[in-house]
Amino acid sequence: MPNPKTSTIPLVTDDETNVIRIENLRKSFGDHEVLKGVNANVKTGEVVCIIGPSGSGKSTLLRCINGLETITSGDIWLGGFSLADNNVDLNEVRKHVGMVFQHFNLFPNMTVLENITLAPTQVKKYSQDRAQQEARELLHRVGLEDKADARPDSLSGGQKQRVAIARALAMKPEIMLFDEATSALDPEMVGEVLGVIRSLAEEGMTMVLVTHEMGFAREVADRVAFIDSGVIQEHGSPEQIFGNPTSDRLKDFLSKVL
Amino acid sequence: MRQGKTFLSFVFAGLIALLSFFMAPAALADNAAETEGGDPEGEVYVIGTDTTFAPFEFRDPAGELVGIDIDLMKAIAEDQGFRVEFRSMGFNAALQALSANQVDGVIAGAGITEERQEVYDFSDPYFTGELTIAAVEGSGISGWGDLEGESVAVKTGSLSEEWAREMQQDHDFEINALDQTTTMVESVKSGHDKALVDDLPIIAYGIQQGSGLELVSEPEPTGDYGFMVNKGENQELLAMFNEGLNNLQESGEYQEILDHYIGGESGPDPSTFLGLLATSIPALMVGLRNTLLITGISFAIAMALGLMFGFMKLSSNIILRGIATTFIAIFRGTPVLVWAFFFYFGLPQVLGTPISIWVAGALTLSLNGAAYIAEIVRGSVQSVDPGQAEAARSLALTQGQSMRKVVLPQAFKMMTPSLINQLVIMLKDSSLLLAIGFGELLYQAQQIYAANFRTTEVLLIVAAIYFVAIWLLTGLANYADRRVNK
Ligand SMILES: Nc1ncnc2c1ncn2[C@@H]1O[C@H](COP(=O)(O)OP(=O)(O)OP(=O)(O)O)[C@@H](O)[C@H]1O
Ligand SMILES: [Mg+2]
Repeated sequence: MPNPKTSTIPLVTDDETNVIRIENLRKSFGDHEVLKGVNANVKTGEVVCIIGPSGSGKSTLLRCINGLETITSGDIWLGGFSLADNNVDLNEVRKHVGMVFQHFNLFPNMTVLENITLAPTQVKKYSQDRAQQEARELLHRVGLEDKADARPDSLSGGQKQRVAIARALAMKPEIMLFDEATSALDPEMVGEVLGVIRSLAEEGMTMVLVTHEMGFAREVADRVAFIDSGVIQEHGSPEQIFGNPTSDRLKDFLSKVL
Repeated sequence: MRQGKTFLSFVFAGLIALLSFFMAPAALADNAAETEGGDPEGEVYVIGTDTTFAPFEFRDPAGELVGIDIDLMKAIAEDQGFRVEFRSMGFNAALQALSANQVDGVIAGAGITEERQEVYDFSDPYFTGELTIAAVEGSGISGWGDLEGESVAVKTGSLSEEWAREMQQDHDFEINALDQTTTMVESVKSGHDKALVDDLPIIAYGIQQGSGLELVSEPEPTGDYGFMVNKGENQELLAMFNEGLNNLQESGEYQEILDHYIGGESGPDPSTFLGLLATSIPALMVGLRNTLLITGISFAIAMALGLMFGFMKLSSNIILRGIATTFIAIFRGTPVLVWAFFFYFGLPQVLGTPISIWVAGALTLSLNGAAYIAEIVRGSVQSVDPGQAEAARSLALTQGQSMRKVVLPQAFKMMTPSLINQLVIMLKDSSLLLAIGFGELLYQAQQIYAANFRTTEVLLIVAAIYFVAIWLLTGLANYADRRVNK
């Protein structure tokens, strides 16, 4: 097992297929237990969509995976890193995990290019030249090469979210987490963001997406997990979850959202 | 990189520019202090005096400290071969400064009373005082009997107050104790008080200058004026004063000084408003320079302290937070003036060493300002969307990097208007320092209207100067803000 404090090698070694392993994860805010024993594995290159009603703990689960929330009990393994281990340097872990937020959270005090080059220059100590060159490639990839010097304020919601994805990709993560990346967008802009996510899936990026876009989940997901009341109630292939739900809760949930 | 250019660098660049602009060597010298007298090699004594006790001490239109006390002291210094440095600071402030050994002696038309003799040692009398009542011309008042049911202005803690309290036993009037003759005159002229009681030479001088009052009673002999030193201290200075006074009285120079101030007939200040403006502007500009300088210095210190305490308030360490909370509570919860008196009069007695008026003034303004700036800093940092720090952390930036690169630049942008506001408040608060005799703008104005009794006009000029200065300062700060916080 690699030494987690110094490792910058990939999360997954040859003999591991599950890049994310969640073991009996519990998370409470004060007396309020939000996650009540979540168990799940995500394979390298797999795309997992998490669906579930509001307040069921989807965001909390995602935030636990990159250490934005501390774990109350249980464990999350990212390759060889155990997030329950206090000796693990979370910043080291986060270099491997990109996150995209519902409200973009772009830095308004910087240009688009500066948003993207900040982490590579600060964390990976890349030169400005190298970071900018890579940032421009990423902007090209999300279709915004002409916005490099724009301020986030001047962009549409869809453009902001594509910049946020480029910003996360600039750290060359092995895992990408998306928390309702399209739900703050006007309907006509959802497509451009989903297009970028789809292309990532095709390239084999390991992704966990919390989404309300059931059609997109069905199309892009390898597996769908339905979470309710702090536990994963049901998971399986999209065909199985959407076509043949077994639990009453899932049937009930799908009848409301579909 | 733009985000590297923080608000701080702009604040300090601005202040350094401001400072270097005003950093003429003379600017740092206390403008209320001038060394005068005989032998240039002689020992220098620091003499405290009142600010506005014409004709004993006041400033002529050129801004020079003049008056019976001043001329007498200089003549004695000449005669005895020592040097004097005057600090004109207000009567009560001068006495406090004497107790605190901030000055070596006080000459301020001070009556020799038993109470004062317990704390100070007096010279031989150099003037015999008389009190009189004055009222607006044609008021029909001719003595205490006409003041039943009225309000009478007296000078706080002086013989005039003592006399009025005595008269109160037989007559039913109210006493309004004020600090300065000009204030008392304005109070009578504006109808707040029916009459005032003050020393005869002072009122006579004012009438000569066109104060619009008249003497309405027989003078009441009060007793003698003396020069004083702290009890048991500076006895050689006291001895030289007595000897010098004796020499001057014999040579006739003493009488010449008196005649110059209360014997002549000069009539009211004849100048037009424009003339008044022209004569008062030089002294007011000195005041403005001191105002801007003390504000600039204090604001720079307040920014540094405010940032420090603001971050301590945000810290997760309970001790640091406690220190910051206490500091903020103390300095926000107490008046500025209290600290001005404390730092200038109280602290020297605790430390046993005098404190420069610039240090006391800067401490007062900067500690008060720091408490407000700390709250501004804390509030702005906390009002940055927590999602910003989360996004930074999710990109593997450390806590420090996320603070420096993401949160602080946004917080500084948000706090700029409040900081500009704080700067303006500090500039206006600096006028409170006149209470300890700091030569800022309003202090200079007091000096001028104390001598010519054109209070309203001088105050209007001062208000206009403050307005323009603050208007320019705000404009400059907003311009810098737009350039830096795009
Ligand atoms: N920092 C926090 N402190 C206290 N309670 C929290 C905190 N964050 C989340 N919660 C609570 O945890 C529960 C789950 O929240 P979470 O945001 O994970 O739900 P969600 O499934 O993402 O819902 P949504 O679909 O509305 O985004 C909610 O009841 C929420 O109030
Ligand atoms: Mg959520």
